[in-house]
Amino acid sequence: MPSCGGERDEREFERGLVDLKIEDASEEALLPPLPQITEETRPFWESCEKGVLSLQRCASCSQFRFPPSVICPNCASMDHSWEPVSGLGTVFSFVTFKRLYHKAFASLLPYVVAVVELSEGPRMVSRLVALGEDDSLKCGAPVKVRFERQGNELMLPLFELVDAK
Amino acid sequence: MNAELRDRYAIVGVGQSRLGEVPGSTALSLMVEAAVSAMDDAGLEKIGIDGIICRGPDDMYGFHQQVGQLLGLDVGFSTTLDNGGASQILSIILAVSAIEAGLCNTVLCGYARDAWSRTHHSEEARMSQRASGAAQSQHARDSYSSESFGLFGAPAMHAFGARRHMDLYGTTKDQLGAIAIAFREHARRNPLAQMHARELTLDEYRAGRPIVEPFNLYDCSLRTDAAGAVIVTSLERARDLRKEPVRISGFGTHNNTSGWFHDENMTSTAAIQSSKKAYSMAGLGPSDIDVFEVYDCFTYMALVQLEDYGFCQKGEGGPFAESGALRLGGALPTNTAGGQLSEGHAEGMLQVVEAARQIRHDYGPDRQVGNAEVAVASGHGGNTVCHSSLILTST
Ligand SMILES: [Zn+2]
Repeated sequence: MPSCGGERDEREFERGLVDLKIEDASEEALLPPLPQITEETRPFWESCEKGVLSLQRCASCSQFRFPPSVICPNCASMDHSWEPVSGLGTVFSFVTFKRLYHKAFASLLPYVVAVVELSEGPRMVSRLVALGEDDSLKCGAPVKVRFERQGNELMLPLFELVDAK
Repeated sequence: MNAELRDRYAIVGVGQSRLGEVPGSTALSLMVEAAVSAMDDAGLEKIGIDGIICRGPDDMYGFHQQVGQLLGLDVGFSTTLDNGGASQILSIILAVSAIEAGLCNTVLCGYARDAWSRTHHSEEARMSQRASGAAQSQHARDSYSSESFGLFGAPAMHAFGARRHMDLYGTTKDQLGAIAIAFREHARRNPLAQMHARELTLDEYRAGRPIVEPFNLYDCSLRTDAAGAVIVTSLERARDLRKEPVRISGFGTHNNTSGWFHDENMTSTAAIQSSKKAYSMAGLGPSDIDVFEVYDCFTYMALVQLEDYGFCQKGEGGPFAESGALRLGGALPTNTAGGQLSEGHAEGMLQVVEAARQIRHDYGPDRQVGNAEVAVASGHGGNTVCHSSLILTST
């Protein structure tokens, strides 16, 4: 039992936090949680494997969508194709992780997770990489996709800043 | 719209369990404790209850059935809700609807969690909880695969909203701090509050351990063993009971099920449409509200609701909070028992309990909002897209 008195250094959300001890981590545990590839998401990850970001595009109203789905949220059409997109976008919002929830991210702390608004419209969660020491990141910053393989597993679409200069 | 239901139903009893760290408690035991306290408050034998709408921890199946079993009740209407932090006010809306439909007459609405005890009954439990959290994370669970990118937990989801609000409107960390400090000051007057004994200054807030920026420790709500309960019946039946009934004058719900990342849902939440319905049903507006009991899972969520309920303009939540308006004695006393940030986290049910108590003028001058005649309570949750609103008035 923790001792009584004083403010507990914890909050409701901390249930999923892992301890910072990583010396006992197996190789496997050092990979981030990987997506469970489904019928609907397979084309997305297969395209990532080739270093290309692809999204579903509605055959009826032409709108791009993400996450993958059998139905167009705009017009309810069930017909679609998979199309490569520019990989360009802007930061819609972002947060900086200062606490560890999974061992795979221990060496990255602090790291930035963003909601990226792609030029084609859809928004997706990703991690921003190669930010350097610059802490002037703002919503609206232009970014571009950059693929990184996770161990021997799949390629993840991460994002980096587009150098405006 | 639903204005014909205005003032036809009432909250006739409110209750709560012990709060905070209640070693050895379970969600069920706390729920029963709160239910008995609410029935006692109403002067109602359990025989008078013929509806149960309760919510417990997400991993408990049929929570309402287990509550009914412990209370030895057969009831005309019974269910558990699944709308996250919006469920508790939704339970009251559903109670009114079920009574209106003739399915029952008097409903026990409740919420309970054993968030502290289930992780603290032993050091092993604590470590296994952490380990299971990590094990669950071996595969990213949502269709976004967001955990693959390092996105974990509720604080980060809400922090996206805070960050965007800061960038769009110039909201500052200190303004979020003003919310945490105002609610802590209220908890200091509430002897049952989890953080009753702990002062919080702006310097301490600023030095809070970073969690996921822009949130630090003090922007996040507490891990609490807690239950709250209220009893809802028709105003007609209410008149025979012990306490002055608290009228249910308005309610509303709205769900941005298109998602937190869609449109501007992070900075203009479902509270906009939900509160509009509640105001319209009650025939009241923001300027009529004397007390606000806001769903504060994180400081930012309280801030954005100040705007979305119309207490200030969009983007002005920060300066409004910093003005001192939220403190007892301020323009809009808010979370007068300490809120989920400092009283304890019971997923919004204690907000309803406190709103009713303020309307009944249950307190002495140190905690009572002087002329409280109209109170608003809010509930928010379910991947931060579901919202519910409740307006209570004095008879
Ligand atoms: Zn379409």
